[in-house]
Formats: sequence, structure tokens, C-alpha cells
Amino acid sequence: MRKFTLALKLALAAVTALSVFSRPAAAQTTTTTTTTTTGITVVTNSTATQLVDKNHNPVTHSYTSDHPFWVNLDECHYGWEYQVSITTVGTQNLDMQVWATTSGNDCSDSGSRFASSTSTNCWRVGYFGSVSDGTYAYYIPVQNVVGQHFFTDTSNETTTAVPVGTSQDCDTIASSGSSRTGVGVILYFYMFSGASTGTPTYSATWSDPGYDLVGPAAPGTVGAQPADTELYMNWSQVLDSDLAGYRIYCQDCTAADAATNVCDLYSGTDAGEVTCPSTPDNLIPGCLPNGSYLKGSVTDKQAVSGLAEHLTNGHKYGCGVAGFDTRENSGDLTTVVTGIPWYVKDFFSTYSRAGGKGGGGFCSVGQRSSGVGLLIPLASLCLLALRRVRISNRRSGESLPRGYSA
Amino acid sequence: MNASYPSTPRIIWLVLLACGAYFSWGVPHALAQGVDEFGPYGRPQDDVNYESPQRWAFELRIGPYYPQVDDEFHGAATPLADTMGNGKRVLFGIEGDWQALRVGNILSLGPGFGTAYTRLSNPTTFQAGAPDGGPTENSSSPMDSTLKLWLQWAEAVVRVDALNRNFRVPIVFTAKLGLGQALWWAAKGNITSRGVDGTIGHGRSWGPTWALGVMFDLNFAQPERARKLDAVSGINHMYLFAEWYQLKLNGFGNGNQMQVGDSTWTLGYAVEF
Repeated sequence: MRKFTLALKLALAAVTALSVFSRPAAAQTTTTTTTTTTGITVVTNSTATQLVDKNHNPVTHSYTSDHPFWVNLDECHYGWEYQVSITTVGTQNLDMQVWATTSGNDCSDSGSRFASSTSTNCWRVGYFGSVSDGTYAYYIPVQNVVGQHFFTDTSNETTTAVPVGTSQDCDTIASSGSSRTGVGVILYFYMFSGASTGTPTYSATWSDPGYDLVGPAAPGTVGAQPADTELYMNWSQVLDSDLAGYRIYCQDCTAADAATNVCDLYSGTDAGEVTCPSTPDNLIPGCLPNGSYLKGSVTDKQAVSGLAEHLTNGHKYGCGVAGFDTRENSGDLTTVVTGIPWYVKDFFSTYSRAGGKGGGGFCSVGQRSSGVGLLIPLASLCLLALRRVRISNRRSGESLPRGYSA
Repeated sequence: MNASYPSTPRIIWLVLLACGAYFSWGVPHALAQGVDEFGPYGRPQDDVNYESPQRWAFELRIGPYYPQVDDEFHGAATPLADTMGNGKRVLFGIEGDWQALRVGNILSLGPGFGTAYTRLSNPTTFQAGAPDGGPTENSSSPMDSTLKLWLQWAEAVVRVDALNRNFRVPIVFTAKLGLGQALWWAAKGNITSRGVDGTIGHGRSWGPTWALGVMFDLNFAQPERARKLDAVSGINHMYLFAEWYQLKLNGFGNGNQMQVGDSTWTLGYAVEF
């Protein structure tokens, strides 16, 4: 009995050790739902299934994301792709279709794939013919996933075509009331041994993709106070849950053509009153700001003020504020306000104007003077003290307290 | 309790304390003394006059400060007063002195090193000449003008404690002479200021410094406690002090340095150990 107990303990210890040491090095961020020996399996390690660029080189986000397979608006425009590693076993070289949905239904119903209504439907994002057994990488463009091009009638039931998403789809989806906090997408990998209108014979699910294309709402109010080469901006706080901070954009109206500058065109225009171009070449209230006019940022979502910096005194600037979220999506620009930075009477400029000669850096103290001579007695004192202490240490018997004699 | 013949465990503590004292201060210590909840015990038997070795002094300093920048202009201009006002600011500082030499029960002498910091700040107004639609002259700007000063000094320090040691009058006099310097930074808002010719608004000023002070020995109020504190921690004296000092940071007359020194006083708390 004791031997049996000992053996049981050893077995338990071995199982525990195996479970600890057999964990993969990197945290798994993807899930696999089909793990049968015959069928389709999504391989979910960090190099097999990942985001890649158009040339299939791995890419990473410029920000920390709790959903690594979600893309923001810029990444959608870049044309990134999902590289998904699929293992197929015993699937008889069938074609593999990839369908996407955001609604949560499983797309296995033909009506979800080829229906007239798009409200709860799926859309095809990939089609791969005659898939051999083994593990291979398949590439699914992010723009196909974001584009949501549905087959809206049953005449498409036999087609092998994949509707191609475009960069324009990114903007279209972003401006169509997409969630500000992002949308998760489920990809279904189906194989049909019969007609593709039926129920898939083999299937796998990958639920990590998604997109967040919309930044925070624009602050409700904005103001600007001139300062020296700066404008002190203030705004009302935005309460979006994924807000990460604010960016301040300014356009130099003095340098720009009056016909295009923000100060003349949009003076008194509120955010949302103008139709936004897809690629604005200047600042427009209520539209995504042109990044080339970025003049300051605040990475504090509680902030209600910040600085537009590196401006030219005497120039008139039109400035607005936009929030940005944790995935670096910019929100819409506020109403544009104007200001003219100008010189202030600070201490040092006043000192300098009065003829003061100080300044110029820590090393510019002018010629050395005889004051260095004071260092000599100080250094001598230190040396003398050191000598005295050494003597004192040698005569340790002399260090009796007050009131005692040696 | 017979303090003259400590028990065996106490002897162990005595030895440990003695070793600690030896290695802490690096000074051979022929005496074995300990302390328990009743206070110091053991040799020397007459511990009324006992003091642990005293080699250092440490000061915490606080006082008013206003850099004499405007002295550079001899009344022709007052840029600091114009932009920062005339009010003195608070200077916080620390100083450490090594009492390397002792001359009987009269005085100690040694080098001292100190540092202090203060900051002047005031809202700015706009200059004249802004284009139409711009801010008007002397209207308030959201920018603050600031001048930060970080002072350092090294000096010879004499502490005359003859009255305290010989006559139990709890007064100690100090005199200091040495060199000081200040690193300073001028800014407007978050921008380093620049002069009209583009000169960057930070620099270094240096010069002689001297000080005279008087210290009141707090041991006078509670001598018994002070003696216990000495036995426990090695702190010989605690003082409240006042000191007048002058930092003449003008580069010994070199006109290229901003005169950020001052002639002022400070209050402080000091310990000797």
C-alpha cells in the first residue's frame, strides 16, 4: 500500500512538472476550436498565425494592444494581412472557404452566407482551392475582413470569388457609425464535401481578429490663449472609455493661401458642419485632422489643457484639438480657434535687454579669476585634517572621553 | 542592577556594540559601554561626562533668499524686480561638515559642503508690437517666467564650543569661509529663455562665501536624554541655529556672470555625531 501511495505521488509530481515545463514560451493569444484528428485546425502560435504586410513580412503595432489581431484605421490603410496557419488532416483535398462575421452567428447556415439581408450575415474573406493535408499558411487581407462585402443574393452560391476589400473600405466602415471601442470579428474556415450551399463538412473558428477604426469623440469646446511661440489650448474632457490622450493641430494661416487656410475657410464653423474629404489637406472642423499640422499632444486622458508648441510669433494660427484612443486612432477635430503668439516679458529676456551679460550655458563663466586662490587654503585644511585623523587613529589610547585622562 | 559587573549576555552585547562602534567610525575605542532600557551602562563607570566620538555635523537650513541680480545694473535697470517682484523666496538647504580638527575643548575646524535650492516664478505680460488681433502690450500671458537656483558651497568651518564644553553655556559660535557657486536656469513656461542675442538662459555664477552663526545646544534642556541618545545613536549634540551668510556670486568681479548671490540669514537644525 505504501509503495502504491509513493507511486501515486511520483506520478502526480511528474504530471505537475510536465504541465509546468511544457507550457509554451509565449502567451497564446489565439484560440482553436477544432482539434479533431480529421478536419481543420488553426495553429495558434505567435509565428504561425500573425499580422503581416503585403509582402508577408511580420508586422507589429506601434502601441500596446489588448487585442493584438485588431487593426486601427492606419493599419487598415496599410493593407496588412492575416497570416493564418491551418492544419488539415483527412480532408480529401477539398476547397477551403473563409467567412467572417461580427454578429456572433456561426455562418454554417447557408442563409447567413447568401442572403438578401446583411444585418446578421457573413461575408467571404478567402477561398483556397484543393487544400492538401498538412500545415500551411494562408493569407487573408485585413481589408477583406473590414470591407464586409456581402453576397446579397443566392445566385452567388456557386461562385468561388472573394470580394476584395480596399483602402476606401476602411474609411467607409469608419464613417458608417462603427463602434468607437472596436469590433471583434470571427473567421470561420469551412470545407464542403457537397454543395457549398449546405452545411460544412469540416470547420474551424478563429475569433481573434477585429478592428477599431474610429477615434474618440471631439471635445465639445476648445479655446486658445496666446503665449511666446506657443498657444495654450484648453478643451472640455471627452469620456470615451478607450481615450488615451489629446493632440493639438495648428495651421499657420499667415503662411498659407487665404483661399485654403483654416482661419478664413472655417472661421465660426462648428465641428460636423462640413463634409469631410477622405484625405484632408488642411484642418477642417469635425473631420480627421491632417497629421502634418500636429503641434502638441497630451498623453493624459484627464487633461483639459495643453500646448501648441514651436509656433512663430506674430503669425496667426488656426488650431483645433482631437482625442486619440489606445489604438492610436485619431478622433475628429474640434471647432477651429485662432491665436497669434507673441513675445512675453520674461525675466531673462528683460535681463538681456537691459544689458545683462550672464547666461550662455554652465561653462561660460568668463575668465578665471584670482578667487581660485581660495581653494588652496581649503584644500590645505582638508589635507591637514586627514593627517590629524591618521595620527589620532594611531594614538587610539588618546581618544578617551572627556573627563578621563590617558 | 550592578552596572559595574555586567552579566554574561550583556558582555556579549557590549562586545557587539564596541565592535559596531569600532567599525562604524574606524576609530579604536578602548571603552566598552552599552545601553539598555534603563540607559547607558558599563564602563566608563562615571558616564555622566561620557561622549561618543564626534566627527561630523549635519545641518538642515531654511531661510529667505532673493538673488541680487539687479546689482549688476547699479540702479539703471531692475530686470529681476520688474519680472519677479521684490519678495524674497524660500531657500532650502543642507550642509555637512567634517570636524576634522579639534583644538582642546575650545573649537573644531574642518571643511564643510552644502547645497541649497530655490525657485522664483511670476506670471508674464506681453511685449508691445503684436500684429492686429494679437495680444496687447502688458496684457497677461498664461506663461510663467521662472528662475531656478541651485547653490553649492565648500568652506572651512570653525565651531567655537568652549562655552558649551567648559562652562555648560549652551551656545556655540560658527564662522565659515569658502567658495560658492550657483547653477541657474531661466525659463518662460516650459521653454528655456533666451536673450535678445539668442544667449541661452542658463549659466553658472561663483564667488566667495562667508558666514557667521550662533547655535543653541538643545542638550541643555534634557541632558540626561541627550546622553542616552548619544549612547544609542552616536548623536552628540542637537542644535537650533541662526546664521547670517553672504554668497557673493559675481565671479570675483568678472562682469560676465549673473549675480545670483545674496546676503541673508537662515535658520536651521543641526546635529553633531
